Amino acid sequence: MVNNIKQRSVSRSLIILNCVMALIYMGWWFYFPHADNMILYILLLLGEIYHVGMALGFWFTIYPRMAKKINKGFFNDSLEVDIFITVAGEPVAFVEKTAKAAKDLNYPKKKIYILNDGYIAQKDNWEEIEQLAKRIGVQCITRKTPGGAKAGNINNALRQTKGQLVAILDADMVPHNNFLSELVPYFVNERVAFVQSPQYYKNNEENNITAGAWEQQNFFFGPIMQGKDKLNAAFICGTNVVVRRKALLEVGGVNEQNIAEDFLTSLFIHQRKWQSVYVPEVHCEGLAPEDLLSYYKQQHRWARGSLEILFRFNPFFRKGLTFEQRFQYLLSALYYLNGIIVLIDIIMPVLYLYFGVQPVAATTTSFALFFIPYIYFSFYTIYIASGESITFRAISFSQSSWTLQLSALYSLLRGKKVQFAVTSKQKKVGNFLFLIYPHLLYVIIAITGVIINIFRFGVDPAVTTNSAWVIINIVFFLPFIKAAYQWNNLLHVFSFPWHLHNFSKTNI
Amino acid sequence: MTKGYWTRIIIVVFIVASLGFSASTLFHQSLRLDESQSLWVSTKSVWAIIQYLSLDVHVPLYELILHFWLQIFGVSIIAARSLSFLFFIASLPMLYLVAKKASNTSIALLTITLYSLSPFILWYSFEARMYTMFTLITIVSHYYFLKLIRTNGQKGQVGYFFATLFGLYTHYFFVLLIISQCIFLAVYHRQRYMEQKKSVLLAQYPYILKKGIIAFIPPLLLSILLFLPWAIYFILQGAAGNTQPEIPPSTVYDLFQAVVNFLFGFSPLTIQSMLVALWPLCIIPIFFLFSKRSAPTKIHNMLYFVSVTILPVVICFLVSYYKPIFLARYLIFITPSFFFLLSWMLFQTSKQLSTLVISIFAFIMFSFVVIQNISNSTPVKENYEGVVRYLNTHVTPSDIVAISTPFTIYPIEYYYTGSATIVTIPLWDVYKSGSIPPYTTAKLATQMKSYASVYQDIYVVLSYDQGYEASIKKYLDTHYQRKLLKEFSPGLELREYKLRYE
Repeated sequence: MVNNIKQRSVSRSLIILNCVMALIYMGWWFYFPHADNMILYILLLLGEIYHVGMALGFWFTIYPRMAKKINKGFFNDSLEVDIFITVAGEPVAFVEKTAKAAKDLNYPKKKIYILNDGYIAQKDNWEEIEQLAKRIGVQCITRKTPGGAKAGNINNALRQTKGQLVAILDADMVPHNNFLSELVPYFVNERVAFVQSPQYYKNNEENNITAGAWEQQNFFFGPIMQGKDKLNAAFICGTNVVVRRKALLEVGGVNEQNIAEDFLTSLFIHQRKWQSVYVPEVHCEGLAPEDLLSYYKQQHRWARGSLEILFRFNPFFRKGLTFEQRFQYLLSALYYLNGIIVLIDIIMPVLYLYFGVQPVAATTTSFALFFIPYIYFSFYTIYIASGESITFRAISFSQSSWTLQLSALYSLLRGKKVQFAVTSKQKKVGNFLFLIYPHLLYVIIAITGVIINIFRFGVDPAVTTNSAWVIINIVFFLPFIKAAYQWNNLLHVFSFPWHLHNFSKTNI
Repeated sequence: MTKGYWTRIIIVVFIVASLGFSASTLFHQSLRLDESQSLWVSTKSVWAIIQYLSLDVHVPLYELILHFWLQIFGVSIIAARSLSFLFFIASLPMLYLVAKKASNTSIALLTITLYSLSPFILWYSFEARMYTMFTLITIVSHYYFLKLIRTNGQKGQVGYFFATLFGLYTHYFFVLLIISQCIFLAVYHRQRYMEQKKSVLLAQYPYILKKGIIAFIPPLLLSILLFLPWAIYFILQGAAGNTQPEIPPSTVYDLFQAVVNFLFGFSPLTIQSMLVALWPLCIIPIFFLFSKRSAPTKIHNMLYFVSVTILPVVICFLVSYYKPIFLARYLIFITPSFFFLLSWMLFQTSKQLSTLVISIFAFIMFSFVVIQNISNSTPVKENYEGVVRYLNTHVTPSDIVAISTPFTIYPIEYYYTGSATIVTIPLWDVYKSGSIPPYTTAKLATQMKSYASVYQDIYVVLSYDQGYEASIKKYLDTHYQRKLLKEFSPGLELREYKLRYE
């Protein structure tokens, strides 16, 4: 059983050193005589401003500061908790496990509700869920009027229940016995609106996808959420959270306008000066997406929701938020613009290899003097902040998600409506290579470009340096490409079936 | 037989092949300038060695050892090179021990494999200079430093004292290692102090920490104290003001080239510039260094090896902006920790991937050993033997041989048996103490006029340009008829001019 999320505090001096390195590095970029093709240079410069800005934001988030004064009270069961288990077609076995664990919680004043959205979502098992609720003795609220997806489901239940606190659990998130007894005491403070705990994926060693997804979560629920918490900017992450009904009702329930409903609801709650708490201890165990398609859909939903918030509810201009809260919400939303920047970065060496245009005229080794210390210190800080647990796979997954981030941005700009879809908890079998076609295409185009250039110009330094950038980009994509397909199958397809060949009967 | 057994066999075969090939190609190659100086100095008396080196940019321990070594095994370049090779061989078990203590057997084995496959290391293992002795002492210093750390100052003081003292008397750059160790010590103890401050046993930890730091002070101070007489003597002699080599100002290119040299040795310049252009690949180690680790090592070991690998290079590079001192060979002492870090990184990935990468790496390194050792374009090759062999068979008593830069007379004299007189441009008497006089075109003109009346032809050997080689060439080309131009190795030219027509 995992009890806490890895994280380590980073010294002030290291963060200051990082900032100095970043400023020196940006100094190189703002010296415009370095430019060759000005358009490409400006594009890269914008990308670097984004990178450095996000890095500065991260260092600001993890900067060692005193935690805000919200004391955990003594165990107190005076508050009544309604436990909402949101279901929209998940397997009955999963729901049963979660509901039974909820019943076993060592908190007496609780009522358990299965919020059954299977009927609305036209899932076959919606009646089985009702039968399950009856069988194990919990209440089931089956919605018949559609609207608002998961948020609508919760709001529907809010209208039919009356506990002072509401605990929200996804169908697969099995709570530990002490989930409520550990989280509820924070509500002694009357201004606490919600207490969030991490989403731990117990199937994280199942395959590359679950491992990558968990490693990303681990980093988010480690240094990032703990840093946000100190700034009273932790947000609701959809599940494993206890919310004060009063705060929720004050903002009109869970927001139904956005598919990142949890994120936006938190923002509205913070706008009304409520306090939030993040507890970095694992109190529920759930399931990570087990296949690339489910992972893709989950990330796409988060990206689309966050980008929509960025454009429609820009946190930086919302009244009632502190500067730190504005900045933190903005940072979280801006993360999903990374797709554009990755695209710019990966396309530059290819442009050189095919068209001979390059953004930078300066000798690239002088650039290295500014870039390498900055990048090494940045990664060292991430490594320390993550409690030495960050993995290359996690970084690769986040960099390789540029396609889904671009797709989310594109759908937003076109005003396409996206339906809330529950992340699949069961492995889908199939060929998901189509999700990595852009990555494979890049590999083919880039390597062809490298080969052509080597034949044309030999090992010219410019060709070599651009080829090295291509290699770096491909290395970044490898874990993601690996996760998309059972590549071992290919070996079987192309290998000679020796085992079927009877050598003893071979005539020479 | 087990898989591990075969792995060891393959490693041994690889190392033996690499050493065997290098021994057959490098032991017998031409004497180089630096070697000739070491050889020349080491044949003098102990006091003369000390006196001579106090005017030079090097410290005397290696030459003193070489002096006694040559007394036993005879004055020959092979004998002198054997000493370097011996230091290299001795460094292998020592490096294995250091790496094993810091990680595990597999990483230790890979460290010594890569170390002994490194064309750079192999080059200096067969050069009659102090570099392999320098690396050996550095490894010993690592061993005792880490022992002091591990035992919280209880064991290793004596070993650390001797390593520091010998290190200081082997190469001035050893100071960079001491500075790096001190920086590491400060950071490491601060980290530990902060961690233990939170501990329940707060009361006794500051005492233990203090003891851990104090243990380093006596060996350090004592060795520095024993080095002081030399340092004072060196300064009184002029701090090598007249004998410092001309080192061009450092650029970032040099920095990357040094890393390329450590890994792939001295390949032809086109290949080297191609390898330097691959610098973005420097990002890849980040993912090994700063991600969840699978290969075992204690964090303080990693921090130590990173410190003693990176800090000396950074310090040296920064100092070079003020006074150019950046030479890859002077930084050879970082290679043991560099190869340890590299080996550790290669073990961070999955077994199949690390096996594949290690095999490719070993193959590439071995290929570069072959290229470096047999190619005539290897930039560090100095074929003085070839030049002198030509001179021995072509010059007559009516000719004169002029050598520029003057100090390159050492390797030429080693091989020279010809009948023509040898002089230098500018004129310098190697047997008289004193620095090389400055070059002027007017002096060259006077010198040449004096030869024209006596000699028929002049053979000019040009190497180690000190800033006036172009001027010499221009003067000779415009005043005399050139009969021959031959390049024996990169930067080593022989020219023949007709002095008079009779």
